[in-house]
Amino acid sequence: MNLDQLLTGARDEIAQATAPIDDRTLTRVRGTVRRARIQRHTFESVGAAACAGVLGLGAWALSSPDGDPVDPATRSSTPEPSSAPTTEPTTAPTSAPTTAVDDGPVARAAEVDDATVLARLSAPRTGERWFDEALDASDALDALFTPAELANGPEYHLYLVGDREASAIYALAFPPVNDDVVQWGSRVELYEIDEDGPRAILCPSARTGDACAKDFSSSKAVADDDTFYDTLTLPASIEVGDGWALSTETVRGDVTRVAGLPASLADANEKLEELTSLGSLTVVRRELPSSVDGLRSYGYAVLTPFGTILPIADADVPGLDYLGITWDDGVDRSTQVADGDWARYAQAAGAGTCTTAQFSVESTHIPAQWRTAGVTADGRDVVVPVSGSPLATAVHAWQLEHSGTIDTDTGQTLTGLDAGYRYATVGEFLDAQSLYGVEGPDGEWHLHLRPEATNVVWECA
Amino acid sequence: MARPWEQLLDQVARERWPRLVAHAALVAGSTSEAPDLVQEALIATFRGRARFTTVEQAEAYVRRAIASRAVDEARRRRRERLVALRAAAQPSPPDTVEPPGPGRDVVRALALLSPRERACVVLRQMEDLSIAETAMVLTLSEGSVKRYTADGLSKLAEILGTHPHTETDDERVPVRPAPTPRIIPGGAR
Repeated sequence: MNLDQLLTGARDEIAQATAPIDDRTLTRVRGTVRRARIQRHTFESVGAAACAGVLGLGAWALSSPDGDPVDPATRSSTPEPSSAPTTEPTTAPTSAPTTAVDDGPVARAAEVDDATVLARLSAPRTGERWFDEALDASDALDALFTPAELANGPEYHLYLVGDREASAIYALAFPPVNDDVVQWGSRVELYEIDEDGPRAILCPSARTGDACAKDFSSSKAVADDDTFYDTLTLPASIEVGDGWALSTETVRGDVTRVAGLPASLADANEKLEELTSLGSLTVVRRELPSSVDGLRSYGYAVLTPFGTILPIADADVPGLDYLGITWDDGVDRSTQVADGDWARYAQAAGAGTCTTAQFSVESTHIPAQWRTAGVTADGRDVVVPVSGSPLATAVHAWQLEHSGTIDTDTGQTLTGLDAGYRYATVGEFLDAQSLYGVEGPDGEWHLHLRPEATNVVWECA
Repeated sequence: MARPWEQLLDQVARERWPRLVAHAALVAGSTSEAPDLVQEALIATFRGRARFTTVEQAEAYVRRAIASRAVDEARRRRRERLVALRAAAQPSPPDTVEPPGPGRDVVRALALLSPRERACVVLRQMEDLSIAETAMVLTLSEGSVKRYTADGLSKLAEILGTHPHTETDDERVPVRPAPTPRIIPGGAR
């Protein structure tokens, strides 16, 4: 046998013993090529400015400890569906997922049980990766806007926050925008950019019933309501303590917050305290400014893996449904007195009307200072301060003293009772069951104010 | 819908993967490194502007990319090993033993060649690349290609105990031109 025959024979033997390329390897190769082509495409067509973000992506990918390209969304192997997030499952129901996490097509579903949602938060099918830190990509804004729009529009901030297969994921943040009357809230929009250009991600949740953003700001992007992320899909219920759970129903239906709020703009000077980790999501309570001595005030929120914040709506926090309380004294207080959505739910006892804080906590809770006075719609005991409570006196005093508005006829500033505050004395304040408490997680008492007992203001801005 | 380059990539990968892996095993002298080498070559080939429109053309590009990357990779590893050995003053670690498998003897024999010798042998003998094409792929002079090919074939033949390649004329390297025709006394002419 000559050398040619040996070489050819060896080649044929090896080829015959080699299995065809598997889908995972091919997807990895394809994804890497896509990213490389995006980078080239960006250099050539979008311009040097837009390169910064993509180069940032490249730099991140190079420095990432896991240098492998994105796992395909079609992955069908490990991990097992029953694998929980890094902490023990804390979300009800705790039963095993009814659907296999990584089996079957990667598609949205109308119903996804929470165990499955939780498992996917840690082991997404959808291939997205979020950077540890968002990278400033303001230089790439011209991929989304024309020069004229950038010159005349709001002060946009663009961040490179992750990638998915061949796409780079960007978060576009808006600072609050003022017109003559209203300060429009800040918000965040998500975009993916690949070699075909930018797409606005309108429906990031894997649950079909969850909200989709109705519009987006970029004039250059096309609407994308197909792309979704397992890592941004909220469970229906989040348990933060034994038998104490937050619902996410309202926030999941909010079309203005599908990508959350900029955490730094959600509220000034707030501190975040982690309550539980749900894989890519982190449940926190936000410490917000508190005005009454001895009270600290908080609101619940979920942090997304790219740093935005999804405040849990008042409707979804146990204890805030003042109108649903059944009072032991037989008085029906189920009718909303003040106008406006703001008055549908109670708020934190230690802050004013314009707060987003949902509950306050005493530095020291003295049970003797409280008495049971009713029960919430979901069966939780409601306590109110006893007569002579120093805390009730302090809360009433602050709300009364900080009430103020403008007489629209005279233009005069009105304060206190003249401004329309309802309760002249702490006795009236207590009789109206204005300040109440509901036991929260870990035996902590959450103190709330009925909406009408909060200070009167001209407007919240 | 997949873009044209994606369709071509899929087709090359799905239809030609075993052949490409076999090619990589020979050119790298290692079956275990071959799949990674093919992946890298596919990426390198398709990340740039398309210079090909058919599967055959694309495969040819991938094969050449495999060869050039195999040489680069082998040289890089050798450099790293030398640096490490100098630093640690340690004896050279044993070379990786080729595991049992198809074509093992040939792959093991190829592994004993230098990376350039191996690449030249495979490209010239199995891919039918010309000397000029091989020189371009491996960034060598044509003379070097001839020399590496001849040396590689000679070593292989010795290791495998077989006859050298039968068509070795173009691998013969003239040492120096003969100044005058040699006259063979009593020659047949």
